[in-house]
Amino acid sequence: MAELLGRTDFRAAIKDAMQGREAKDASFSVAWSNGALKREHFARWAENHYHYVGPFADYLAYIYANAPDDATEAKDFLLQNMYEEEVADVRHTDLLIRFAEACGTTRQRVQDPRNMNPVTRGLQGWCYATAARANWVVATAALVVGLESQVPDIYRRQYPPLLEKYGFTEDEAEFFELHITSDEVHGERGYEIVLNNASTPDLQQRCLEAVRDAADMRFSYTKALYDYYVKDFKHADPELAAVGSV
Amino acid sequence: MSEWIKATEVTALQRRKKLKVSLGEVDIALFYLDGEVFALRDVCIHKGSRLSQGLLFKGRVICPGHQWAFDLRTGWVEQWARCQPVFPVKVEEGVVYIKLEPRVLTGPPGECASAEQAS
Repeated sequence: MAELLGRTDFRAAIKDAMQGREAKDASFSVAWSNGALKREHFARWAENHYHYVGPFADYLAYIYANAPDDATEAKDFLLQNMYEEEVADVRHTDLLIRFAEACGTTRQRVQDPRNMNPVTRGLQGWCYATAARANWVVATAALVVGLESQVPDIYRRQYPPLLEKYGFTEDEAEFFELHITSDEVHGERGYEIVLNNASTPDLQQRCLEAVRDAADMRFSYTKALYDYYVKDFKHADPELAAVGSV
Repeated sequence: MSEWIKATEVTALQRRKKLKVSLGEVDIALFYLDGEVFALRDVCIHKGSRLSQGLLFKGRVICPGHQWAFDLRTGWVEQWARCQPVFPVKVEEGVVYIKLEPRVLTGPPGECASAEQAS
């Protein structure tokens, strides 16, 4: 029977739960950092990534609705993350589309759900299901801590090569620079919610499991990008894919 | 050496926790946290968003543009090792006063960082 962990130990256990399954170590991330990708690979990445991160405010809205009305601080944190994603300044997905267009694809292709692969579709579905159906603290652990808090570590590695190896401008790659800081803040709000509201051993263990699942989901999504668009080059070419060659 | 200038009544700040004031040509974002008043230049050093439209989180103001997290007391943003100008503040008899002598840290706070006057 697990005991209730103190704040410091619980935070350390959450970090441990992500160990060995972080998306920064998945094949697509490694190829990205090593300068081994081409612009068409980034275009396919953007066409998938949009459908994972685009509905993030929707996911958070489900969690917000499931949180009890006396969890005021937690609800405020969720709302703050949504506000910064969507309306505080430039909409974050618009920056993603700006990058996608620099890679040679279009807003229409990015927004068309038919252009994501099945693993991305699975990740999106898992996000919706977890947000809507899991306990609200567990769902926060999964989506905000397990998925979102990983982002700064990923983009700290991936942003410099975009400028130095792949030749994007700072303006084209603003999405990545933004998320190095924004998801540190968003992830930290997620930690606050989980650390302050997972108040029983059972709830803490469920949060740890959710973080593990989330890290696995993000790893699989990132690895699948490599498998679909780098290893199997036909998927990287939308014209070949469109005529049913794959 | 500049003078202390009246910026606002502290009650106006207590209600909203943040307030933009313009002193001459300088826009200043005021914040109220745990009974203390802090003053930072309103225009973000990164890309010019307005800190007075940002949210407070753990003693920092989060810029609405790119979520740079500026320490309210020092103006320091840890992730990028940069500093937003901060202004000296005093509160006397319910009035907030500011000196137009912005200070910028040239290194992390607490590590023998020197401060210089910002232009």
